[in-house]
Amino acid sequence: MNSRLHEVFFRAKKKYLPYIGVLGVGYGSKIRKKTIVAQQSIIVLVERKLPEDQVPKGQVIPPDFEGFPVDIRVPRIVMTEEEQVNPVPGFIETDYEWINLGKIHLIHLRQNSPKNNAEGKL
Amino acid sequence: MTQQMIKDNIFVIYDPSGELIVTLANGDSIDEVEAFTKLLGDFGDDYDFITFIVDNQSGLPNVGTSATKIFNDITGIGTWSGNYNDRALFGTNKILTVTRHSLDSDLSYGVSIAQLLHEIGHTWCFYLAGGVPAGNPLALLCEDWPFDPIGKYGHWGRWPDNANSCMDYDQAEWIATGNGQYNRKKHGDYEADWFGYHPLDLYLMGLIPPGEVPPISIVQNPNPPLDAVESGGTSGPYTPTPGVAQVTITDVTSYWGYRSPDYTQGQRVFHQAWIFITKDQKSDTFYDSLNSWQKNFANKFRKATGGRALIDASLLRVKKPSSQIDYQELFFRDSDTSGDIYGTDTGYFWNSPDLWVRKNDEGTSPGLEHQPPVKGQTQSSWIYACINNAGGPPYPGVTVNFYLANWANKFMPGTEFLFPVDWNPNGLIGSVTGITATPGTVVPPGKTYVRIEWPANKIPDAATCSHPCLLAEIIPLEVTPSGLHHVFENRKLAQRNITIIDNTTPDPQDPQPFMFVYDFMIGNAHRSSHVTRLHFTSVKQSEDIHLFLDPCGLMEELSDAGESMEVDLPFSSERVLSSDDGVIYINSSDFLKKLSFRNSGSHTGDLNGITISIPSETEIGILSDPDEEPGEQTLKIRFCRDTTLQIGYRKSNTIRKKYQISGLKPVILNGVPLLQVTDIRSAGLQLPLKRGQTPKLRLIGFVTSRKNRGQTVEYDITESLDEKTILGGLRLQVNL
Repeated sequence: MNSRLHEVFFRAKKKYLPYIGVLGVGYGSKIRKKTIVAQQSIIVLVERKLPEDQVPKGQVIPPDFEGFPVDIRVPRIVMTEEEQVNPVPGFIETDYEWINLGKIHLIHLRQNSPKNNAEGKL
Repeated sequence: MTQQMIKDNIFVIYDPSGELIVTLANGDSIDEVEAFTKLLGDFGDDYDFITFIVDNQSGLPNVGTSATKIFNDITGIGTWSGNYNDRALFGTNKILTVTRHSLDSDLSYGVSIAQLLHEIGHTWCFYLAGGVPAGNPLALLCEDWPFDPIGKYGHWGRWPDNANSCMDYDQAEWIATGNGQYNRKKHGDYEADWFGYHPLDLYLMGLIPPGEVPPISIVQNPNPPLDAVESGGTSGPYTPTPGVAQVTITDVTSYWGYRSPDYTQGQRVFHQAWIFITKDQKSDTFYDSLNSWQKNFANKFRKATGGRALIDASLLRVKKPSSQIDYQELFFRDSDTSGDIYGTDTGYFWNSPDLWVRKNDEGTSPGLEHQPPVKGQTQSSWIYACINNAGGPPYPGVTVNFYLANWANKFMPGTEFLFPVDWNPNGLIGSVTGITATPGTVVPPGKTYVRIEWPANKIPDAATCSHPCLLAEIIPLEVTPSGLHHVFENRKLAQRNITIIDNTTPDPQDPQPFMFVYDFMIGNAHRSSHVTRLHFTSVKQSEDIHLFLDPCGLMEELSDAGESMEVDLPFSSERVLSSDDGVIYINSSDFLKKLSFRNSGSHTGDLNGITISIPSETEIGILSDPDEEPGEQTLKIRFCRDTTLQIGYRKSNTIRKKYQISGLKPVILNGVPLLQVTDIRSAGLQLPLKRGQTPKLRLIGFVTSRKNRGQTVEYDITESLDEKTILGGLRLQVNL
């Protein structure tokens, strides 16, 4: 293991996890079109990918971090029952390994906040 | 509004309006932190694993099956090595991993036993291949991988022959046909009993040493190629190309380092809370099934780890405003000198009064005297346990499991037993479940008696002199200690380690002298190399019993240090007796004669010189002049008996110093080097043991007198590291 990746991961997590829309930060393979293009990358899980001009100011995530490529992806969090039976090629499993459950909790609290609901802020 | 319910050992959150649902742009999820907070409202922070069962059938999101690591401080297990801590998210100091399963209609998938083992297994496995450089053999462990690339570096691939490991996706096994080819057999989640953990998985889990991981064959590039989607059944043969590769544990440790903590120091006892979330009102029948499924999983995990680890999936009742019951108030006493408050024992912990055997089924009011099985009995015995409840309210849903110790060595008596490995599923005699531990009616603790039948065909070698040790555990288990530990370190454990030697003389009116042999083991397979001290004490003793310890080769110098004694007994270096020989009647007069002669002097060992044997009636004449002829008037010395003389210098006390011998004397009895117990009050020695060494020793006893028959004599053999640290022991009772 590149022990430096482990250290870099902690710094990336500290930096990116507080960003709005970021659901988790981890490390592992960078995947493009179901193919691993890099074994060691920083993974940033986002609720949705946005054009740069729609990202909150100062929260654009760059393509690399301290020398490691950054894989920004939308995690799969639900499945159909049919998808749950016997993994097949191209089958996409859920992506909970790096989902930050505390972030999910915060999002849930905001969703349930009457003030946010009144103002349409989810 | 959500409601919480406790259905035996399942924490249920009834959420008809879906309050726990979190809506995200790409789907819905469950707020697991919120759900766990609800659990903490009724229970303590006592769980290593939190498992969510989400009832997607009721309209909640299908979150699939996965694991999220919350904490790690283990190194040497691959890309997940090193410190990681997200416990603050949950407000916990305990959680290692959170797993989630979406409920299938019949519990057969998603919550299958294989999937449950798999997701818990992600706490440690299978992260060895990620990031390794090109050409490193570890990369072969995740090949090939036709599934979602997200999962490639967290699972075994299809090429490795990983037996029945649940930590892959293909759920198939390679079967060597013997000519370099392999067949392939596909299994499925429905085969709950097939899945387990590979030795490499067990090493990563911290349960076995690296030396027990065999090389892993890699059926690389099989020809014909594997189908992307494999059908069930058996296919083949396949030919690996260019041939079978191998990955060894050395490949693992040389790249990742050794697993730390290792198998002697790692966690072995885990607690798990199941949280079931549903929008529907479920029936009692459903919850009975879910509880049964949970028990099956816990049993399967214990078996899949070979008993080296266990998961207690029971909900640990703790004192809260809503309830005053506490799992810590249930306990077994350790010794027969124990008071009714746990921790007040002053006696030996291998003689728990809360675990014993009776000849008959005596219901819930049994006699308390231990009545072990006798040789050749054809009827069942009954094993009893007494659960003490120091608390006020009754405690429901308790389980007691009963075991025979040392199953791997034919249940031979041993001194040191470590939990959980020695409370092993292979030695399980039986269980009592669904117990309500009653509190004391006047003063605590309350006592609840439970029992199981011990059929005669499950009583191993009910020989007079080879009696196995009984072990028992109460579930709910303690949270600490969680590594390998002894019975006296855990109030939920009990041990009964007593052997009874019965002199079933043919004629009680004319009791004969007899001898017995008692085999026992010392050490433990999980202990590092150390010097162990054996100490013999007698609770009740008799001058009619003469004991000899056979160290069975552990003291190489003993054959040179002992005084020789030849006696007319059915015992010699050619005829080595064992516990299986039972009681043997002897003619003790010759033995006693020679024994008393040996004991009459103050000598403490042979002389280093020559030994002269002088037969009886030999006469030596003493002449005043070398030229004098011997005659009738010559002064003579006559040896009236067969005599042995030694001429030389006393041997050094090397053996005594080396082995710290006290109260024991080296002898050579009929050619067998032994240690005679000369003072039972101080008898002891120390023996160096290698890592994992569990040698068998032998105690030989001679009962030589016909007096004092009907009496009972008891000896304790204690094994310790030093004066304070007792590791274990056993008791031998001899009925004269």
